[in-house]
Parts: sequence; C-alpha cells; structure tokens
Amino acid sequence: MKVLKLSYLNDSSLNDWLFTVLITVLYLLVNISYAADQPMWKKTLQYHGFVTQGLIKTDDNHFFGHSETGSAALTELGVNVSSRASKDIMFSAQLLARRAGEMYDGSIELDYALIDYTVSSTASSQYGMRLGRFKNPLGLYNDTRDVAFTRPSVFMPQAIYFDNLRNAFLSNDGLLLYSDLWGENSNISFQLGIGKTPVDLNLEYALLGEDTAGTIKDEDMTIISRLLYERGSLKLALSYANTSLKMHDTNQIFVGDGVFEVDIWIVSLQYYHKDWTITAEWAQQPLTWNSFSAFFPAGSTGEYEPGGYFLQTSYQLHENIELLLRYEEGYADKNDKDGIIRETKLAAAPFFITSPAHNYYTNDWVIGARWDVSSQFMLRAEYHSVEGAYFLSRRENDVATVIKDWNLFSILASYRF
Amino acid sequence: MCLMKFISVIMCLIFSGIAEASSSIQIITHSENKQQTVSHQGLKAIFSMRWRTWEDGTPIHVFVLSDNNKLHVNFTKKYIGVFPHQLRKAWDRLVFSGTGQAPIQVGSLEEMLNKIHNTPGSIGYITTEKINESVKTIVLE
Repeated sequence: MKVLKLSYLNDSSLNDWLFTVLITVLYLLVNISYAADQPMWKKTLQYHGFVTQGLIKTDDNHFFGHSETGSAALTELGVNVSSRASKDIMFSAQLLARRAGEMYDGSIELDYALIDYTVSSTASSQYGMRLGRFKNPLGLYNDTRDVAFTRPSVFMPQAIYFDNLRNAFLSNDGLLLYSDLWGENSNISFQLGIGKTPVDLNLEYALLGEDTAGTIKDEDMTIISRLLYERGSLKLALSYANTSLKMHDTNQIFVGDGVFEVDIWIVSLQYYHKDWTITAEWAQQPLTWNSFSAFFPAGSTGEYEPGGYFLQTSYQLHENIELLLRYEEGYADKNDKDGIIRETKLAAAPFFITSPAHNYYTNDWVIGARWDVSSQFMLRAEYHSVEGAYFLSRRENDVATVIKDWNLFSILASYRF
Repeated sequence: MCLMKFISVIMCLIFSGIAEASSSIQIITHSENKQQTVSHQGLKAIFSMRWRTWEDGTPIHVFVLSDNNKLHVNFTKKYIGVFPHQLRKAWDRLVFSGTGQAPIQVGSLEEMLNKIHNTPGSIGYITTEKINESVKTIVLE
C-alpha cells in the first residue's frame, strides 16, 4: 500500500467506507454469480487502460511544467476493471497516475470505484444508482477528461474545465441516481449525485494563491446534477454542482478558518452534420467566501463570479484525421473581465501584492489535428495563441512576472487497450 | 468482341461490388432469446451499450466486428446512424468513467456466429448469406 501511495486514503472515515465497498463487491462476486457453467462476473470481466504522453513548449510562462525550455510533464496512465455480477449489478474501478507539471506528481489515485445497481431496465428506459467514488457528470467531457481519446484536444478547454480547479469537480464519494429515457429519435438522461469531494493541494493554490498552513476540506455534502437531451445529431445539456470548502487549522493570520462556497453552472451544446461537429459550452461559477481573517488580502468575506465559454468546430478530413479550431475565453470575475479592479484591490491590500490585471483573464485561439493511426493509437498536435495568464497555475508561475501574450505548442501520443 | 467482354467484366465487378456493399444485414441473437422484435431506438440503445437487459431479464451481451470492418461500418451507419469512430467514443466514455462496458469484438463472421450461438442473451449482426439455423434473427420494428 505504501508503494502505491494511494491519495486520499489517509482519511480514516473514508478509508473505512471504501473498505466496506470493497467487501460488498467481494461478497457479490462470490454469492451472486450467474447459474451457468461460467459465473456471470467472469464472463463479463473486462480490463481497459490507456497511456498518454505529451510534450509542451511555450515561448513564455509555465504550463504543465517548465514549458519554456520544453516540458514532458504531461503523462497519464489509467487501468480499469469492470464486471457484471448479475443482470442488474455492475462494478467498476479505475486507478489513475497523472503527472501534470507542478500540479500532479504522477502518484496513483483511485479515480473511481463503484457499484452500479440497475433498478429498472426496459426497451425505452433505464433507472438506477451508483454507490462509491463516481466521476462527476458535468458538461460534455468532465467524467473522462483525463482520457486523451475522449477529450477534444491535448488540453481541456480551460474556460470550462479549468485544470487548477480539476480536483474540486472531478469526482465524489457518495451516491448518484441516474435515469435514461429514449424515444423515437431522442434521448433524455438525468443524473443527480450527492457526496464528499476528495480535495487536494491544488485547490489551495487556485483559491488562495499558495500552500497555506492548514488544509481545505469538503465540509457539507456536494451536489452534482446534469440534464442531457439528445435529438438526432443535436445534444443539449445543463449541469449544476455546488460544493462548500472549509479551511482547517490555519495558523496564518492572513488566512483564518474561512469557508468557500462554490457553484458551477454549465450549458453545453453539440451538433454534428456529416463531417462537421460544432461544440459550445458556457460556464459560470459563483464563488463566495466568509469567516476569513481581517488581513485576508481579498477581504474576510466577498464574492467573485469566474466564468467563460468556448466555441469549437472540428472537421473529419479523412476517416482517421480530424482538424480542430477553437476560441475560448475565461475570466476570474464576470464584473471585472479585464482584471483591472482586482489588480488595484490587491495593490491596496494591507501587504502590497503585485499581480497584473492579465492574471485574471485569458483569451485563447487553438488550432489542432488528431490522427488515429489505428483504433488503439493516436497522435495529436496543437497550437495556442494566448492573451492573459488566468489559466496558468500559481504553483508553476509567479503572478508578479507572468507574461501577458504567449504561445504554446504541444504534441501528444496515446495508446489504449 | 474483346471490348464487350472487357466491359461486361467491369460491369460485373462493379455490380458485385455494389451487391456486396449493400448485401442485407441481419440482426442475430441467441436461439433461445424470447425477444422477437426490437425497436430502432432499442437497437441503438443496445449498441450504444446503454440498454443492458432484455425484457425478460436476461443480460444483453453485445458482439461487434472491428471498427474498420466493412460490415461494421455499414451496420453502424445504417442502423445506429453514426460513424464507427463516434460509436467508439461513446463506448470509451462509458468504459473510462466506470458507467458501462464495451461490446465484445470478434475477428470474423464465423466467430460472430459461433459467439452468438454459444452466449445466451447475445446480439450481433451478419450478412444474409452467412446466416444459419444456429442463431435467430431479430425483427426490427
């Protein structure tokens, strides 16, 4: 266990809980096997996985490692197993090792581990629930954002799938209810989940700009929901999540045991016609905080409304080659889209902080190509022309010296089985 | 005369090509499956790996040919209404989020027949010429 260095398992209540899930799975495997020559769980056992490596070069600033001199700090490794213990019970689990610049060091995490119980299944509908650690179904891409084959580009559109906040909305330990209805030419699905968010250090950098003495914990229950409607080649989705994060044991007078309340709203649209696919997503993430120290640079209470959108079109040039064009825009506060109010406010804080306005917004033009060499091996190349530094991690960059206009080039190879 | 022969050979090749491309596809299942018919939407839900249990409660086991197999390409375009790479992405989203499984891929039409014959609750597809009584066809409503 020590060798694996499973993150989050140090929380004892969570540990007990995951142990219970594991025992239940084993019990099901032994007892509810199908009455046939070969037990059902064996017959339906599947293994899948992926290995991804990216290379990143920027002319200025650090994105996924020391990209100014060229970085290879984008590595993703995943292995999963799934099986159906009976007609209505499926279990699945995935381990993920992810290296992402200074944000993730590649240690192994339990990405998901769940039991899926189908309550009802007919020719036109399905209802059920998932218990355990599940991936949050937010927007069109969140639940498989770490799989190169299913995301739209080398890097997720940061305006919606902000890598700094990846951890806050990635997964939950709890219960998710799902329903799926399909009609003549349409499909409606609804998912509602409730649970605790496993939180890591990146959130402190994203919310506080540094690693503070205390830790952030998910205090109340997190709620996640998504309504998805498909008709022909049109897909529409509305996603909502709410989480509340509390600072614990902070002995720094500039922080205090404050509470962050984070909401996220995502509107998604996708339409395909022949070889063209158009995708657009818009997000708003109202963020409020209170009970912080009087010396907290942003104020003991306050609110921001980060948000953004992207517009993306992809064209299938050949059955194996896809071209991509995307524009995305993100900002740290809806009411301060050019960041000037924030710059002024921080400069006037009790302890003067230099943080230029371009730290609080980003506009990014992306062009890219994907080549599916085979159904198991894929290559990608991508160029970004960026204005603003809002998408950059505070763990990798010094806010005082980041460059406003910068370019990024990246290539990626991925294999899956 | 020679030219006529040449043209007829060419015509023959062209028509046989067309015949092969459009040779009708049959949806097949295990011979003991109680399900006689399936709606177009139901078929789509099965091959998208969303509908997992037949109406009598038997688990559904889905079999497909490889993504670049001609019959698979024709099947997905005609019956599912998407390209094989789009269907593959949909399966990947299920498989890598732990919310579903991938279909079982077979290497040949013979293996398809064999697996469908030997797996209760199975579903797959085959060309009309290859079909035999070891499996049952499902009627599309």
